[in-house]
Amino acid sequence: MDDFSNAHYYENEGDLAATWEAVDPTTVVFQLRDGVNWQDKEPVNGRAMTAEDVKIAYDALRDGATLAPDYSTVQESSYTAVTTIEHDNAANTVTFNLSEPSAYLFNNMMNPFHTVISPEIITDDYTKLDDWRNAAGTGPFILDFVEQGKEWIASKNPNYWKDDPVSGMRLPFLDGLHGPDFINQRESEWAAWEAGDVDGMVMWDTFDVERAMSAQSDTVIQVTAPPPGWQPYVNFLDINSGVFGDPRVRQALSVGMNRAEQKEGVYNGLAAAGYGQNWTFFRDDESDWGFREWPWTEAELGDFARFDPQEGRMLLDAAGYNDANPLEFQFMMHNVANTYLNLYELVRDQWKRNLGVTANHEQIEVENWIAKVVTRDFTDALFTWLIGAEMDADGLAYGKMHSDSSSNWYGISDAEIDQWCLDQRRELDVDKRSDILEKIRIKELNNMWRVFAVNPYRLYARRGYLYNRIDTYNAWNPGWGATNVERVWKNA
Amino acid sequence: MTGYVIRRLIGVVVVIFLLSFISFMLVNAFPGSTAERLLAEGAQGAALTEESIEQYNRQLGLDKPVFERYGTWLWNAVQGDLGRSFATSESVVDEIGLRLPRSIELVLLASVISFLVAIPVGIISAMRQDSAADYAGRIFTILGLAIPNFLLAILVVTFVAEWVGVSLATLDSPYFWDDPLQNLAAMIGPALVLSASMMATLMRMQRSQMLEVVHEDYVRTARAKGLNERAVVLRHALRNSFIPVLTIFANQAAFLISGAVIIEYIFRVNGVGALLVTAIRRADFNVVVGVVVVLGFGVVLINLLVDLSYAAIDPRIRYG
Repeated sequence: MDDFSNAHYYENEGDLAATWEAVDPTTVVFQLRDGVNWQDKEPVNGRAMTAEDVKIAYDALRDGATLAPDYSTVQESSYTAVTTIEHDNAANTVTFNLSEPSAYLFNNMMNPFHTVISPEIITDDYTKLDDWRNAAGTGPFILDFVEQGKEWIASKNPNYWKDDPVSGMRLPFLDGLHGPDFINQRESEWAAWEAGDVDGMVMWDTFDVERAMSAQSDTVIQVTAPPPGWQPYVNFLDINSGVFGDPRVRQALSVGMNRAEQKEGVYNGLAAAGYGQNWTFFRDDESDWGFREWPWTEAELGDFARFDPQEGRMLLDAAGYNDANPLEFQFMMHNVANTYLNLYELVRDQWKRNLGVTANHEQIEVENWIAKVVTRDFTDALFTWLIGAEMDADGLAYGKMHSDSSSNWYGISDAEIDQWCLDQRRELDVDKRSDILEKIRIKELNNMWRVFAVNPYRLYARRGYLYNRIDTYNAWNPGWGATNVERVWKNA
Repeated sequence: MTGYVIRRLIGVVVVIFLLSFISFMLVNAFPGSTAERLLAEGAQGAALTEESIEQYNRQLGLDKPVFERYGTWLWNAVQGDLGRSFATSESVVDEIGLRLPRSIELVLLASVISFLVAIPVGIISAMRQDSAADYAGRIFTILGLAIPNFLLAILVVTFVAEWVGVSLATLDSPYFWDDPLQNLAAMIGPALVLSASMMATLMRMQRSQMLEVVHEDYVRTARAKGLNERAVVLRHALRNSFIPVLTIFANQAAFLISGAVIIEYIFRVNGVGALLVTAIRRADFNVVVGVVVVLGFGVVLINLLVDLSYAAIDPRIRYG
């Protein structure tokens, strides 16, 4: 084993790290790049970056108490296997010592939230991080000005250390960047599109697509796979007792959904069966990397992703719900008019038509909606698409399903799942790890701890002169949508 | 006069205190919490856990009782410190100071436009009662009052983009002193929309007051003296019809300032209104209260100035 790359499905590329080596399954040595300086601004003032800087930064990420007593960082769960970090300034190396093999470590280190912050900030006052003026890193651009709601301005870092791999010239080529802040109001965004002031915008549905194309003749619509966090699903308040503690009720609600109708009725065909996990679960021998992306077939989604209202009624009957004693529960969703709301209304209608189930609508204020999901502050059931953007399958396996995980927003508590979640963390062999992840997927889908509706494609309109602009929502994580961008419509 | 001004200024302090207290308590009654809203802004709530919410609340001082927090806020506020934004960590005074010039300009511009259009049209409408010009003015008045300015703003933004190919919502608006032409180009659209309802109100009031005044004895006397119509209207009728119009203007100024909030948001003018909308969405208490207090102060101040201006317009009015 030379490194951990194969365990992570991605080809990892170093930035501040020139090379790395796993000298054994629990020891990883990073050789840092020489000649890297911090940006020439307070508090680092252009000094050389050292191995000790990196050690201090990662210690802070993996243990919030480094920053302040009783403080914890959201990154901590990525480093639970890290016991100590050592540095050697002379050799410019940093060594991560692990208590056990950590298959998810590298992918999580690539997460944009896991940045190397200068010790001047960490040891002085970490709350300074909230102020953009203290943003001093090692990157190609220096943040000069931020006015929220209007713009941000950055200038070239003259001491940047990286060369263009093609020309060999020192990066960056641009003298600076100017980013107007985004437009909050949808009609204002449309006006900007129609006037040609913006070059791309997110499309919510095919009506948007028509409007965009009629306004700009060179419109290109990109269709990208949604990241897992866009998967609509039903979240139950209590899957361990009461009405939804009976798996037959959850299974019935799944087979009572007509996903083909959802796909055509709400998304004009631009949707497919989905599951809130990432593509690494699905093997594909014809693919270069041995795996393939969403969409998946219903057959891959367990025994209860098909449409079978008769079985749904039988399951409900077995659970004690029938025409004489119909199932009725409270079902929450915010009332922001978009396709997710349309899908939600259709789901409620399908349950009524196909199963005789009444899901009473409860409205949530949109600003509090994510918090309602996370803190499980709702009645009976809630419709959402929040699963979480994750850099590694671990975030969606251990993170969302292990009983000890703070991101397990579903009350999933299963000894077998807990063990598999731990096993996949330690398994460095990609095939064996995939086998474990597949077991987790099948067990969840057969239990229907969450009931998944169809997952819409993500649509993005851009002007023809922009080459293949990647939808930033999808490109946030590697692999999500970046590989299957294609043109499906184009004006003549 | 001095005594009157002092009494009014004491009133201003009381009003601002009540305003700050009520708005502080109201924003604290928002459903959900600041921490939840701010953490939810992260990549699909990735940073949001019950532990992180608690931690963030501690960090922001939101775990303390609301009256204790208000007391601290008030103590700092009287020393000129309105706290820091929970979302950006910037000083609220700086955040407001950065944006206030654009908002003041927008309101001033809308007021000037309203005055310049409403007063002459109101006079013409009254002097040529029941003529085509009068009917046109009255129709405009009804439309101006009936159409909410947020709807008018969306219509203007949409149709100007569609018909003229110009996006009023994305024009860059530098400060006036940095680039006056670019500034005016960006501000004229929102100012026109913002002025519509004020214009309609002033026009209607000016018309009705003129109609009342032109039938007064002293106007008849002025005409009998042989003054020309222009002198009768401008020197005798207009001045006397002006006090109610000015009162309405003062009342409308409050609406203008509150109306500017949504207009700024739609036209993407980065003023205190846009700041307020964003802060409300984030339950960024310090910013919300800070902006409300500053806007409230503006409204109270305008009312005070208008009251004082009565004396200048009508010599019969004296404050003791």
